[in-house]
Amino acid sequence: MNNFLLSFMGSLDFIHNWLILFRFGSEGWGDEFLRGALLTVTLSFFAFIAAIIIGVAGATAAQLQNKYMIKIINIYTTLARCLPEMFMVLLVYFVFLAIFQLKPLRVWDIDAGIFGAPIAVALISGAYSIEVFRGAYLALPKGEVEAGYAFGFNKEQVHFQVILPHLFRISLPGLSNIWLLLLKDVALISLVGTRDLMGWANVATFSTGDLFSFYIMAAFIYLVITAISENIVAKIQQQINHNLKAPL
Amino acid sequence: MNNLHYKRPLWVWMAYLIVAIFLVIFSTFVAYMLFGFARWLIHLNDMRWNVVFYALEKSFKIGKAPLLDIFHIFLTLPIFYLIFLGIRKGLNISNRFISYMSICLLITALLFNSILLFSFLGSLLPMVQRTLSIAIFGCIIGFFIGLVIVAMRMSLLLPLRWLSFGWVYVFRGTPFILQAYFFWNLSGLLLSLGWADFLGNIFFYMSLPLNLAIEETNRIFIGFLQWPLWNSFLTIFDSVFGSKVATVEYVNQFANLAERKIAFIKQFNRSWNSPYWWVLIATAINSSAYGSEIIRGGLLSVHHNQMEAAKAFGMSNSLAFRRIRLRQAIAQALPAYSNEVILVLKATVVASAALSFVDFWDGYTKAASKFTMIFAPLIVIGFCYFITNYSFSRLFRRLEIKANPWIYKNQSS
Repeated sequence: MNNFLLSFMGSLDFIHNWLILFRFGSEGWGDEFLRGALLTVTLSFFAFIAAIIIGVAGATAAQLQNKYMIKIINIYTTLARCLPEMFMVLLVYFVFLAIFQLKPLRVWDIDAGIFGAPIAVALISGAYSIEVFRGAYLALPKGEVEAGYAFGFNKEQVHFQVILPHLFRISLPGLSNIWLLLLKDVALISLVGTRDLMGWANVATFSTGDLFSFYIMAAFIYLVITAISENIVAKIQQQINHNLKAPL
Repeated sequence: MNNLHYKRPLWVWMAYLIVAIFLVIFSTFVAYMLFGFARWLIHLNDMRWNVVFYALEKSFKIGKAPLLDIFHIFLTLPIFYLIFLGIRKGLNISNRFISYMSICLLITALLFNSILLFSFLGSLLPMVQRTLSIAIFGCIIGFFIGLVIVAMRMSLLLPLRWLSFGWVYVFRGTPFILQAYFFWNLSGLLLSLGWADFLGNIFFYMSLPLNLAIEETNRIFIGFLQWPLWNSFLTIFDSVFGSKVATVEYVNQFANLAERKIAFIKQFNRSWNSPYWWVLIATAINSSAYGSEIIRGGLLSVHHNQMEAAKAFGMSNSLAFRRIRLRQAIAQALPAYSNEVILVLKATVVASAALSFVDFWDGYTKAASKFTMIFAPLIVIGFCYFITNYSFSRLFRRLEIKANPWIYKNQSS
């Protein structure tokens, strides 16, 4: 029994040693990892909002039945889906690097990686969200729109008060998928030297020579973020669909 | 049909031209083969004749090989065209698609030949080879691992379900770049534990009979292997076996078994440590996690009454699963799986940016550092990726139409 307990304590010791690496302050990597995780979440949040804006705008523009508009949107979605994320991230990063070298802007001292990453990622996932919102437009309940017009709403009122809420309700599962993809795409900016979660994991690994601890911790934090966001999505879905018989 | 009034269409003339070019190439092939075979025959009888044949070979090869090296991309183009024409009937590919693919190949070849003249990106083929072999083999291996995971996920044993759920959750929840770093570091760990030598020993004795047989065949077909145009054909084969097979030195390299074993283990360690294998493993595992969910969705989408109907028709359980459920599940899952293949193709960029292995992206970094240009090579590489991914998506679209003809019956592609 004592032996068994000791071996159990030994495994606890192993975990304790692992956790000591992540103390806060100058002797551990805890605060750096927390900062990195916050940066990752912030960047992906901004990218997500931009992607939603692109998606709604694109899908609404495709709804106008303008031939050229549809062609432009098709070209954009094809390009954004066929080009690698890494390509987009580097392109936007270099463009911003060139822009911030201009004289009037140089005083601001902006990190091109941090500034460019949400835009690059939003350009990619905007294409996916256009597809999601297009699907949602097809699934709109037509009767409610007609009821809106029957109540004397004008076009804008119908669009903002009837169509858009339904659109977000229908496209919520697709949007949650996009959020999870986007969270992982943001990790690519670690390759241009920005210290998000992945970047700090790299720095810690290269400076200590510990091959696995930091990557496992980073993976764990990513999984926690994923789990939390899945929970939040489930809550929102419950809130939105409480008046329906079965969630769509 | 009256032959006199039969006007041959353009593609027939093209085919004649292609056959003519092919015959020219093929004649060099036959010559190389004959020389090699003759040398082997004489090697058996009298070594003196070897000198004569060596001189003959030299005189034949001089001036030809470098010329072929420059134009080998152009020479493979008509063969691609022929292949597309050949599979046209089977896959129901339109002429437009064939011309599209050929134009794509032509533009790529032109682009890269002009770039080659500037000694810009080395060669296109190793990059294409690496990218495509990672994507294709990764997807195939990932598909089979995914099938196993789906079986675990749908089994009645609770621990198996937990295991497969955890597998999918972890590999879908973390970024691919993290997985690539993780598996690359795993190689370092295995090396430090000394497993590499152990595995090398085992693989050496496992592969010994096969290697001996290969070498004997190499001795016979040495001319066959020395044909310079193999460089342009052996793309995926090359990545598996390595280009070293084709040299004379390699054949007569080893005197005894011990020396051979040491060389093998050295080679094994080198190849085993290359990022290629670890990127392949990471890609396969990542793709298995995504693919298993897609396959599971497809399997769940098939109504259970269909299985009952199949059993009522007298099919056994496994036969009904294969012919009824899996068939429809794959047809259902194809669109999602095409997305997955393109995601894997895009993931190879991440892997090659994180660890460096030969890829389009590797070409980009080389060109950017050599010429201190950023945007031009980036656009070129983006174009290459676009062509590859778009071709894949078109191909999968064709496969979708082939798999679900009733859906696309009234639509024009």
